[in-house]
Amino acid sequence: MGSGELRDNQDTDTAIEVAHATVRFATDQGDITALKDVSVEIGVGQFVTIIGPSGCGKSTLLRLIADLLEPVSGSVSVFGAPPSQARRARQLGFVFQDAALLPWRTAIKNVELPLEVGGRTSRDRPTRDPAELLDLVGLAGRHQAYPQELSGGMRQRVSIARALVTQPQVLLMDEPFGALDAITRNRLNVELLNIWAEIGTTIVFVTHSIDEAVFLGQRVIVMSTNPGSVHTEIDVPIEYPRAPDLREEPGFVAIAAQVRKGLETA
Amino acid sequence: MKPVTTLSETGPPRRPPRKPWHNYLRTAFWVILGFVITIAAWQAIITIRDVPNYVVPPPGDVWESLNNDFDTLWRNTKPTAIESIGGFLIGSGGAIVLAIVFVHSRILRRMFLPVVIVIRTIPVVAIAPVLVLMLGNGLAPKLVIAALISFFPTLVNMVEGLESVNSQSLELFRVLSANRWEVFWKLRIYKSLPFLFASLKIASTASVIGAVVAEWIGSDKGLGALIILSTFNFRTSLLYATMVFASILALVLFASVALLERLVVRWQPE
Ligand SMILES: Nc1ncnc2c1ncn2[C@@H]1O[C@H](COP(=O)(O)OP(=O)(O)OP(=O)(O)O)[C@@H](O)[C@H]1O
Ligand SMILES: [Mg+2]
Repeated sequence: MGSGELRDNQDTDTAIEVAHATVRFATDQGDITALKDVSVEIGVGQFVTIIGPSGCGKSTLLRLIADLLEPVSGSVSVFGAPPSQARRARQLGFVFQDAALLPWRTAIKNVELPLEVGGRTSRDRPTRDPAELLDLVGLAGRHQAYPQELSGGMRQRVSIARALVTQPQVLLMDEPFGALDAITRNRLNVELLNIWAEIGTTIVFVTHSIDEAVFLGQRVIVMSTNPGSVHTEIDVPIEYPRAPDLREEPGFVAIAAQVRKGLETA
Repeated sequence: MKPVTTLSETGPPRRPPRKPWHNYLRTAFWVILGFVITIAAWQAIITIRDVPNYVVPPPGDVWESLNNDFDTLWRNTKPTAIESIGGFLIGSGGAIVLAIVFVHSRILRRMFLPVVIVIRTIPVVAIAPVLVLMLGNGLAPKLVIAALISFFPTLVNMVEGLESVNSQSLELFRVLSANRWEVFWKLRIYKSLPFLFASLKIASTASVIGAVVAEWIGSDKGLGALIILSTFNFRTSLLYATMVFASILALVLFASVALLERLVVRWQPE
């Protein structure tokens, strides 16, 4: 993306920069190129959504940014430093597709987990009050519930609260609402935008839903498969706060159609 | 930001509702009926087939022996209980420690897990005489045999439990920059507990078998010794009464482990 001087100008404002990254997995059937020459730049405080066919490397891209993977070539940086540094400095929050809560911990205890681990790095960092966060995600009164006593949507809220407790500057979300019904999903979309408005963190959000991608993001990155790469990027110039009935408006519909065309040619 | 309170009010209850008391009564009824039918069948078969009392005693005789020989039975239960509980604790404790070592050291695991598995295939009855030769006929060989028999199921299950962590949980802990120690104490241990208790329940009853077998070979006290003694003296009622005591001992150990499990594993494993 962009020329060298353009990037220099934006340096202070860049949260995530992936430059010509290629990721390969060694499998029994030979190497799989999950990502090929992927370049993405995300500014501080931006809300960017990623959409693409299954297997195009969306999760891989998130894991690359979260320092769960390394590229075979190309580079990744978070706030100008290697992702490992950002991870150790507690700048990253990750929300997994299936919540990944620990079933032996109550909701509040799950949210407290990030404060208990991470050794020295976790001390002296600004953190948020776990109880307040649970209230924020709409779980007031359910703090002492165990995950199996919560619905899928509630579990995902706990998992979001857990990701927020370390006050991450970057929040990576991998299809967090993928398993939820449309109504719950829409409601959580609105709530997520409210949370984003309140804490102003950078969010990278992976989804399979065109609707969700356009409703949430300032920019939609459409990826294509074989090998996984960035197909197009589509800006969503719609003001926040965004209300649920935005989905019926012509502006929204037009952008959604654009994303759909992108996906079809991906 | 307005919390969605309507959602918080629905959803499943915090704890599953307690079963009504008559449910327990109903369960107890069927259990007791099962025993009654079995004992009745026992009585019926020896009456119909005219089995001599010294081969299979009628239930009434066993009941009598349970009452009359209570002191003898109780006196001999104590050493067996000490041996099996001691052996159980040593064996499963050792297995837990070794499982933790194996999970943290691939090399040690690769080297010694096969050794452990080979030793496991030797029947306890075959090792017992060797151990009595080596350790004399005091408490030691009984503890070792009971420990050995508790050791293997616990080791295998504990290793499996500690490794049952899914990649997503591990990724979560990595994103949180957790070290191995934290992954162990906050993740692996909990994952292993349901596996551990499943094997402890097996080990607790197996340890009684181990202690009894060890007593057969070299002992003048304990339920195993009493079994040998009453067999040689054709006191079949006492033999059966001894088996009842051995069975009760095993049940008590099993129930204690099950109770401990209920206290510790309060969540529902996925
Ligand atoms: N650990 C791994 N080992 C081998 N191959 C992998 C691994 N992780 C991902 N892949 C491969 O990389 C490619 C991209 O996978 P990825 O999970 O990133 O896709 P995705 O876009 O998130 O798909 P989905 O929408 O289904 O979640 C796939 O072909 C997948 O098989
Ligand atoms: Mg994925």
